[in-house]
Amino acid sequence: MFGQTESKVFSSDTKEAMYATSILIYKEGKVINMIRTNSDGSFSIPDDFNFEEIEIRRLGYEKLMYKKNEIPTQIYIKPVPNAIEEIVVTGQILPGNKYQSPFKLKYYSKEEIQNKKVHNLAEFLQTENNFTITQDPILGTRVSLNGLSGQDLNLLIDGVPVAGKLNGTVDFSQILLNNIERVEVVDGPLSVIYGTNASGGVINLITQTKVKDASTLDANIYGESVGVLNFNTQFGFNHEGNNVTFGFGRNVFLGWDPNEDELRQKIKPIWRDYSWNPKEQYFANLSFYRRINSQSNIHVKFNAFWESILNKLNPSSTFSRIVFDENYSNQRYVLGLTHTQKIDKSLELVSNLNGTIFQRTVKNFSQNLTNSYREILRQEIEKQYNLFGRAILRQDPKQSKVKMLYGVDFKYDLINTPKIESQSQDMFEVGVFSMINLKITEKLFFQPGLRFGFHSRFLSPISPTANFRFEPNEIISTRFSYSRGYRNPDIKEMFFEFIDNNHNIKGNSNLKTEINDNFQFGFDIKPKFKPYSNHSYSTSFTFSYINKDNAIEIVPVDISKNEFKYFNIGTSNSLVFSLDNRMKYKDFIFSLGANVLGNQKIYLGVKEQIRDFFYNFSVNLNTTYTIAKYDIKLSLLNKFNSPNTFTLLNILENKASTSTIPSFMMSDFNVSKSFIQNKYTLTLGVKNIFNIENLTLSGFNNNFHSGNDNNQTNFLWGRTFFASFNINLKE
Amino acid sequence: MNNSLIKLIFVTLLNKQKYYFVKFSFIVLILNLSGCIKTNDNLASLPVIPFPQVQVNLGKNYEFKEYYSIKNRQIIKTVTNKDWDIAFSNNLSSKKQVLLNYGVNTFYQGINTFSTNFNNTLSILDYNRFLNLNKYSNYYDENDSLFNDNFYYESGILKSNKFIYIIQRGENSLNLNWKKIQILSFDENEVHILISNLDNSSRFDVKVPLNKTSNYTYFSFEKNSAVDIEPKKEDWDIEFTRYVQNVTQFDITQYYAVAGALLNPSKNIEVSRIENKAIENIKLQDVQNLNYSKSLYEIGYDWKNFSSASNDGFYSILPRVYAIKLNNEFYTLQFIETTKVIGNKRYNGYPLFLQNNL
Repeated sequence: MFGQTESKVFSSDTKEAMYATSILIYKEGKVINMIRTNSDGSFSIPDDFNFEEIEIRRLGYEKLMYKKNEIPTQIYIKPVPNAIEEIVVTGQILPGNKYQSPFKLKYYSKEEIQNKKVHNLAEFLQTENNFTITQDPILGTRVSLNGLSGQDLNLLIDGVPVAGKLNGTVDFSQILLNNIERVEVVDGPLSVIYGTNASGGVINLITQTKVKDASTLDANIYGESVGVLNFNTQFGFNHEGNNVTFGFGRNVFLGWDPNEDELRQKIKPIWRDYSWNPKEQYFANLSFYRRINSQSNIHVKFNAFWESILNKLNPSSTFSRIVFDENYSNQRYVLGLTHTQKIDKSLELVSNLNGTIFQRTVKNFSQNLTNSYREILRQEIEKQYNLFGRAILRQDPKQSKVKMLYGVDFKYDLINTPKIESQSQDMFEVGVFSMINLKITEKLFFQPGLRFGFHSRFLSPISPTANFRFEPNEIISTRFSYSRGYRNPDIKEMFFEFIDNNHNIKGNSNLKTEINDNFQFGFDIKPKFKPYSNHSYSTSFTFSYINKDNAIEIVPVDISKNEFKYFNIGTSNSLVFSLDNRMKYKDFIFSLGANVLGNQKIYLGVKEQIRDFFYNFSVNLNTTYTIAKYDIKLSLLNKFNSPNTFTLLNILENKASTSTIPSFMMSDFNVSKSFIQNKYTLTLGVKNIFNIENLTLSGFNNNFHSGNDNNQTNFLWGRTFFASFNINLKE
Repeated sequence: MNNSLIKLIFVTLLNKQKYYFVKFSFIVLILNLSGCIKTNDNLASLPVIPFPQVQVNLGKNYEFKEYYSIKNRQIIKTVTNKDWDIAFSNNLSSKKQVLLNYGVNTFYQGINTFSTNFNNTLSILDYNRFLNLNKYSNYYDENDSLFNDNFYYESGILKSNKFIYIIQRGENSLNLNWKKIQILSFDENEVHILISNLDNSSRFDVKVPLNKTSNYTYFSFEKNSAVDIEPKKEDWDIEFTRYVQNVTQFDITQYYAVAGALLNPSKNIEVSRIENKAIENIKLQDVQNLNYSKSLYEIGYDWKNFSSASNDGFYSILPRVYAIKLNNEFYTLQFIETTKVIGNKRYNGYPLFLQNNL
């Protein structure tokens, strides 16, 4: 009697049994049969079956080959970093491989997000090239891409713009990553599809939709020596095709100050004014996805976010009996609905409807130090309502060289706050857009696009784009694109009115729309490696020239009255050279990037201009080393930023001036160890190894507020140590 | 947390059948472990306030000024800033013969038209024509010089050039807030002035008798007569008020309306600053040999700073003690508050200070 070869296939990453994995059976170099693994990952081949080799093949995993007599009883297959996951959707006519995108597109998998041990988008982007992160103790964390401010960046969740902005941009530290499957970044204007605010680029966060297992629990607790304690929990279950995820959590930051010890000694009777204010965040998300039938599916999601920032102030003097506090609370509720309908084999309609309510409440308290009695002195509420809808029709006729996308979207914004003219203002915008992908030859693709818009307050510009991709062979792909993006002034920029003893900020209803022309040239190299090769490599180079007209900035009008106003200040030009490399060698994964940014600003009506381009560069190297035998993973993240000189408008002297942020190095290291089939993971690490704290700007200071004249800017909170414990259970 | 609970959690974590129970156990556990942000500061003990406190009341919008006697440790008079416009020195050898109200705001200022024909009508445009020559005039800052060109001495007698001045009375929108004035004569008993609106309406020819008991005689354009503002000059030492001063801020120097303390120009009073030393530890021998300043704004306004960039214009107070030498007697003074909560609202304009008589 003949026996049989029996074996089981597992994921080396999650230790899960890999159901439906293909086992290709070879003889004389040809596939002679193929079987699939059972639900427990097992397969068997009778010994009398005449074959020489087998190949284990599964999409998104490395291929493995074994000779007939060398097949182990347990086979572990490794996920290929960025293989299956590199299917991207942002700015695509159809979801596709990022290397087929005509745009410069960066992709971050869930694994990459988790490796960084970060909790919000601001922390995540801190170690990425092209991004600069700045902190404001009141307005939160702001991000710029290629020197373009946060207002030029359209932050999307599942393709829908995030509403609820402060000072023109979303606070990126409010965007939590607990249920994010992947992050896609398009480095260049995508106004054709995403309309206003996409003139500098798009960050699209893709949330978890489907639950692969019957039920899942993902829970994480995280503590950092600076006084951070976070936890989050995410449940998922899939019952008869109803995919439900539900998550909630809490992030606490107890506040930090670089001079805490000294100040505690110095300030009496009590020191309480942290330069980084204590912050508490609660969040909850609920998602429901189901296929209605073979042609359509529906996805409903609800997100709730609460944040409270406490700005405690010092007593006026040693003998003070009363202290004063400010509390900023932000709440965001988002309800979204997405419906996908296949109309026929080549037509698909995707519709979104999304509503957001954002509320910011500022409260002032007094507190009696003798009896702890707290009294509310002032309360101011700002409410923002946003309704967004989009319908996209995708057409991908079989055997046709043309793919098409047609879309229509609308956005309605309403703001109620005492700090704008008439206390209530609204805007309405409708856009119609189309993009076509033409396969001119086997190697040359052309993707033009056009958007027309109607805006209730502006003449919305026409936004065109033209993109070419030339693939001379399977390894090299080159791309050239021109896009025109735009950013309409937002309600606050037009109608803001904030005048008190310490502020005098006014909107400008005559603002014009910012126009952004972007020329981009780049190439991607992705050599083909053998399926069982222990190394791989890809590189991507991009050169961009960005011209922004009618750039909107807030500038001082009369410093003696602390008066600031929004203006179309002139033109800015940027040159960006960026290089991204990903390398894998055995158990190492390297991500090496370099970025050189040149920036020039020409101010309207200013006598003394600075026409120089100021260049700065950044280099990042992120390394992961996996010791599969012990389920240990080590990650080292580094980013060096050169001194960054930029131009500012010195309106008092009617000239352009410069300011410089000094160079700094960001480095994080962590080591993770998984236990019991990856169900439990313990991570220990250190962040900001070089202990970078506040940075001192040199040169001209356009300081917004009168109290701070030392040019110090909150940047990072110094070196910290952290521990994280993760539970990942599946049934 | 007791051991049985820990055991229960771990047993259930490892037991596949009880996942749902585990999930909820885990959540409750984590929620309980989470720390809280402390909103209240409960102080077991506060430092004892070592000396009597003096509350100054400048008003919610700095509308008042107060005169203070150090020796009596007492506010002796409170007046409203808008009750006077111009003041005349009772001393003909004074460096400042005429003051312009310095307590309302920075827009309270004037220009010299260098013309002498009072019958000519003027307008705001005439003011704007000389806008770069707008000036202030007060007793504490010798650089302020609005009326300096108007006076000269001839054989030891004070004479007036009779220039016409346009006064902008704190706002620039209403013609009513503008006046023109001509000083026809100024002697030890009275000042003879012409005042009117810019278009010559409401014209008054007034002889103002000088009140010798105070440093200055104050005059109101509303009442067209002298008003009782300053107490007897022997009775007060410090004037708490809003006042206009040339201040360097944001790297530029220009006039701001600040709130602080000015010294009596006719008193033998000097001030020295002691930084970062507790007032209760400062003894007589510590202050006797300090370097003292005769500057009338040596106490001034800069004992406070903006407390927070976001804090709507409120201040924190520097840990500074002022040593005061008054007729060879020594005092120490330290500000401890500058705001007050009135009816659920916080206001600047209420300095509170400690004074120790050494």
